[in-house]
Amino acid sequence: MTCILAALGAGNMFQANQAHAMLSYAFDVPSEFGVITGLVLAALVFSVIVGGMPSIASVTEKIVPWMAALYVGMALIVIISNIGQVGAAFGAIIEGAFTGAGVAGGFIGALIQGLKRATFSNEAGVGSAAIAHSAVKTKEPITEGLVSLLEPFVDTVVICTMTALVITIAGLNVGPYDGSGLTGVTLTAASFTETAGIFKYLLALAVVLFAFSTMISWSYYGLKSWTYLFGEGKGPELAFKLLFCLFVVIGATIQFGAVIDFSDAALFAMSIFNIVGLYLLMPVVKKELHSFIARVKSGEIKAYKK
Amino acid sequence: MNEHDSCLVSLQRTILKNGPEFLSHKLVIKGDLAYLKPTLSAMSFCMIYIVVGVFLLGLAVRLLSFPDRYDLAIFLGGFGIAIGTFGMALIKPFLRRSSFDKEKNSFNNHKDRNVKLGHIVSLQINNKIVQSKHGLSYGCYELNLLTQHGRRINILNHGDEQQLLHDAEQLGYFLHVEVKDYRREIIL
Repeated sequence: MTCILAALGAGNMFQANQAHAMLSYAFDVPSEFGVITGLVLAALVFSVIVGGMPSIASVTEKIVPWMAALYVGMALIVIISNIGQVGAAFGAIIEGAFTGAGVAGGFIGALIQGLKRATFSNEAGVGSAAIAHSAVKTKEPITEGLVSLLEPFVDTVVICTMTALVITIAGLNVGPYDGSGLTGVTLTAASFTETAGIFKYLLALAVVLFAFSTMISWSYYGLKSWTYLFGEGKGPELAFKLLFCLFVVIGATIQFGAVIDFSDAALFAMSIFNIVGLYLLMPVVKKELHSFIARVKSGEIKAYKK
Repeated sequence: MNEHDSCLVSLQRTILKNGPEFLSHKLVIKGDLAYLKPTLSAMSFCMIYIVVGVFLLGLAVRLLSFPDRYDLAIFLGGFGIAIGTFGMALIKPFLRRSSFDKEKNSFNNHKDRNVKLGHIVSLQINNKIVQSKHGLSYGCYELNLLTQHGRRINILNHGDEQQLLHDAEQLGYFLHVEVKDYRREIIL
C-alpha cells in the first residue's frame, strides 16, 4: 500500500508538478496551464503503460542518458567558471549542515531535511529500485545488489553534490520554501541560469524527459504492488493505470508544498517496512555476499575482460 | 552437422521478440480475399501520439502570434513534431493491410515479396512471454506461415489467445493448409 502511495506521490505527482514548474520558470507559462502539461504527460504515460506496442518510452530511454550527460556538462561549466567560489560553497554546505541555517530545528532539522531529500533522490532503503532489480534474470542475485550500490553514489555523491555547488555558488537559496519562492527544480534552474541564460531551456528539456522516465519506472513499481494486493488481471491493472494517469494531471495542477509533503510521507512509510525487512534479511545477504566473494577469489566465477 | 542440419528451420522459435498485450488485428474473410484488419484499440494507441503531437504543434502555431513567446513555440513545436512523427511511424504498418488473395494467388504484406498462396505449406501458432521494464510480463501469440522454400513469415502477433486460435483456424480453412500448434509451457 505504501509503495502504491509513493508511486502516486513521489513517482508521479511530484514529477508532473516539477515538469510544469520548470516550464513555468523557463517559458513563463502560467501555473493554471498545469492541466495541459498534466494531460499531455498523462496521455504519453498511458500510451506507454498500456503495454506491448513500441512506445515513446523506448525513445526516451535512449535520450535520457544524453540528457544526464548534458546536465553534468552544464553543472561542470558553472562550477569551472566559478572555480574560485567552490571552496567557499563547500564551506557553506558543511556549515549549513551543522548549524541548520535556513532550516527550522537547527542541526536535527537539517539532518531530517537532508535525509528526506537524499531518500527522495537516491531511493536508498525505500525498496523501490529493488523491484526493478528483482526482475533481472541472473544466477547470482548478489550481483544486482552490488550494481545497485553504485546508484546512490552516482546520484547523491556525484550529481547532488554538483547541483548543491551550483545552487550555493548562485546564492539564490534564500526561501521561502513553501512554493512561493524559488524552490525545487526552479531553484536549480535559476541557479544554472545565473551563469548562462540558455541553460534554462536545456534544463526544461532534460527535466521533462527525466520526469517522464521516472513516472514510467514508478508506474511499474506501483503496478507490481497493486497486483500483489488486488491480483493480476486486465480489470485491476487497467484501474491502476487509469488512476496513475489521473494523478499525473492532479500533480501538475496542485501546489508544490502539498505534493512534496504527500511524497515525503509515502516514501517514509515505504522505507519503514523495507528497512525492517532489510534487517531481517541481513544474515541471508551476508551469507550470499561471502559465498560470492569466495567463489570469485577461487576462480569458480570468472571475471571476463574485454 | 551435415548439410541438411544447417538448413533446418526451428518451428518452435518465435519470429518476433515483442508484441502487444491487446488484440491488434482480426482476420476478415470476404469471398476470395482474406485480410487482417487492425482493431480500434491498436489504432487508438497510435492515435494518442498523433493527437498529442498535433495538439502541441497547434499550440506552438498559436503562440507564434505572440512575439515574446517564440521560445515556448519552438519548444512545443519541437516536441509536437517529434511525438507526431513517432505516431505516424507507428500507424503506418496498420494502414497497409496484409491480405491473402485467391484470385491473384498471392499473399501481400507489403514487405515479403513473391509469396504465392500455393507455396504456403502450413500455418503455425507460437507463444512467448514478453518481458518489459515498464510493465508486467504477459503472454503473446504469433501466427506464422511456412512456405515450401522454408520461409517463415509472421501474420499475426498479439496477446488475445482465443481470437488468434479462431483466426488461425479460419485462415487454415481458407488456404486449405494445416494449422500446427507449437505453443509450449514457458518457465521464466
